[in-house]
Amino acid sequence: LLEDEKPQESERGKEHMKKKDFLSFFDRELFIPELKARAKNDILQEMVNLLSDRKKVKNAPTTLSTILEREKLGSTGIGGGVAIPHSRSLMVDQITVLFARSEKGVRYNAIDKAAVHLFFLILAPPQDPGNLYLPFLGKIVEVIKEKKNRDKLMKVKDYDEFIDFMDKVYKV
Amino acid sequence: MIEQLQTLLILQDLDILIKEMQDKKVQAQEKKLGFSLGNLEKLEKAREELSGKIDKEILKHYEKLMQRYNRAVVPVRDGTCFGCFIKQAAYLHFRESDDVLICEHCSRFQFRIS
Repeated sequence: LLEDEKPQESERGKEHMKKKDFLSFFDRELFIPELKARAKNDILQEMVNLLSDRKKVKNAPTTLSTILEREKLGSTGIGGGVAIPHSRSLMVDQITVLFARSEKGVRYNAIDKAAVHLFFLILAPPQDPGNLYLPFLGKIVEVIKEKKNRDKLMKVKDYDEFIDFMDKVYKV
Repeated sequence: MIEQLQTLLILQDLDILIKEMQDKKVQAQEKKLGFSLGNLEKLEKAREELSGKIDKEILKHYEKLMQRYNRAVVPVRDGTCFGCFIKQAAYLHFRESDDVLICEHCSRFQFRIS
């Protein structure tokens, strides 16, 4: 957030992300194995609440509003039961990623109209546009476009299994 | 948090979102990744609605700050403005009549974080 301070994002600034950088964006505290909410906006609210509880965002209502505004531009439900709500926001100091899951699935207005089970909420500060935020987004898409990976993510029992899987599945 | 300040924070994030989405390269990358992007007018309309909720003087000051700096609303922690990083002697009100605070050095709007 510091205006004149180079953010973590730019220190790592490389077009091709290293595996350790990719993995470092995930956070044990930002892992929801089973979402309680059942509707799109409630799901987003639940995820923002966790970000706020863990003090990862400066202001929860602003964060939620930004995510909802981004959804107005087009649903981030990209099909195959996956949604990646994402935006830049001044409410975070560094790339912040939350993983959440819903076994039952949620109607999310996804492009394929299917229920969404897997969520990656990604927020990034506005500095260094396109430096690591979009490459990270690209890596997530690369992982989840394979059905076997999505199936595995539906089965991981805890954060340790989740991060082990992301480690194994990462491709240079 | 004061309602006007909360609205300013939301407006600021929306401005950042609009600016990013106006970038053709970002648009192309998002589309390549499989995200559907509609018309930016939706965001601009949302901005217009949001701006309408903000006091005119405050909005005018916000717009001026956004032209000068990357951000117009910044956190203040332990008396230090996170826009100019100068410790303040006292909290300065935008107007005597309201609770909206600004930095006495850079005049950015401030919200407190602990």
